[in-house]
Amino acid sequence: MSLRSFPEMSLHLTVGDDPCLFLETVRRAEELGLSAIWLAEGPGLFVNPAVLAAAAAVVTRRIALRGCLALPFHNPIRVAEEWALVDNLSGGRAGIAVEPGDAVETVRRLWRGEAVQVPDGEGRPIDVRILPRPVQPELPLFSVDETALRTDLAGALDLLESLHG
Amino acid sequence: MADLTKRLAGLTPEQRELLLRRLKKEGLAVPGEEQQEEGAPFTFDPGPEPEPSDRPIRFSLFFFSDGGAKSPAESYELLLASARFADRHGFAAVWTPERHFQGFGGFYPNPAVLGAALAAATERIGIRAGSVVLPLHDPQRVAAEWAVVDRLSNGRAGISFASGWHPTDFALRPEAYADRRELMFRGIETVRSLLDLPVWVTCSTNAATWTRAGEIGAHVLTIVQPLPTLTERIARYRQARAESGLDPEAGRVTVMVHAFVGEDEEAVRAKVRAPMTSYLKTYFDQHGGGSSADVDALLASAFESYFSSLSLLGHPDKGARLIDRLRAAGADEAACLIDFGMDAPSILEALPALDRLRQRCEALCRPNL
Repeated sequence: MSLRSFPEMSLHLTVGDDPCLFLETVRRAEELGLSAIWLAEGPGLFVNPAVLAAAAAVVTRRIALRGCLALPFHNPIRVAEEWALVDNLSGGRAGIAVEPGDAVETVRRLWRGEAVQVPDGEGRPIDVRILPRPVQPELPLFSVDETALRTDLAGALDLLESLHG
Repeated sequence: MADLTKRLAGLTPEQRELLLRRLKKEGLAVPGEEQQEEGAPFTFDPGPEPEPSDRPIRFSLFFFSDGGAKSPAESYELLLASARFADRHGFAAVWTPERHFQGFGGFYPNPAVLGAALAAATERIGIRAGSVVLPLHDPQRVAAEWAVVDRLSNGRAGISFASGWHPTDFALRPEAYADRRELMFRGIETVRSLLDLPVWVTCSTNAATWTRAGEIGAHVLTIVQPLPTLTERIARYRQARAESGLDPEAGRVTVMVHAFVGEDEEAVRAKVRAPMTSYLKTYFDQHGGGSSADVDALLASAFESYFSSLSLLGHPDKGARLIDRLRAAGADEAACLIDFGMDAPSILEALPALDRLRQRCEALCRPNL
């Protein structure tokens, strides 16, 4: 195990499909003291970064877990619920990077515990609030971190080991 | 019981009939039913002893409501700790639900996200959704998310699909509400064309859904119900499989039962009465509620039915008798609902007793081994 720590660094995983390699990479990034893992929405394992982040949450204790989401394609209620779940599973380590827009405002309001008015299945307007309530009072919102170590999953471990040199 | 009898005796014949109809409609045991003399004590008759059955049965853990958790964090700690216990002790699976918005199970918005966490935390146990409310989602996305859970768990994932029933949940997709049942079956076809996973259909007492589940070769997930009804539904399901050219016995029927096993019957009764009654009340409220006197009598009656013979609450001998009845009815798995409102430390403390009941019942099924 490395004694060096890299709190100024984060790892941005873009694509990959080996679940064991994913968990190993996440563990190694935490050991090396990186600040965050970014999970870019994409094909295969990365179809919903909240799913991967939940798995990562239970094999780590400290590293931040952040999704890069194509928010316009998703229901903001689902996004808020799922990342609130990741926030709980990780003890408050969740965050997302998205393009600014109306949907992100909705996610942010739901995260704070505010109600959003939507029609129910019978067309009646109802107020919904998300559950679970997240650990962090405000949803950490980011623009994608340009300084992150950006790599596909296959090359991630090699990249992490190169930090030693 | 004396208190309940007094209250029921105080109802008018119309109220009484309404109450019995409600109990029946909810698929709950109707104590004594028509033979009941007005004002006589309500005694629940579990029916005749079943024929001995050598049908094997498995046990799994089921999470659904979590009324007892002080915080979401506590409920996920309970879930992970229970799943790890079940993983080490030979339970077949851990089931988590999909629930939105309301307090009743609202800690479980997406079982694929939770399933991924469970997959990473366990090694052997099945990771299953009970249930994915399929009309709320794009089936292709459901398939893609569960493919990830299946890969993270090395092939341990399974899904039960439900049509959903509460208009509020459909705030996620209002246009799907009217045709939800058909959308579910169509969605199941799509998921299966993309993903090779064990698939269950969540069935209440609606006979047509059991038949359809049999016809499409899915397994069935259901909640415990009066044994004559359950026996009839399972027979109907297996017959539908046979008529569709499928092995009737290859379909698995998983029955959800409340579980809190303990040697001291009265201590368990005292401990589970309030959370179980509150669980039942939430359920009734969500199904339309009723006047308070009516609902109180109904809840007290439902609690007695569950406690005496339709649950794994209390003494293991009583639990073993229910398991025998489930086997005789044709069920394959008892999905033990443990988070119905008890505090987390009590639930975890009671797991070893449930595991001993599991070993006893699984051993009984294999006399030749």
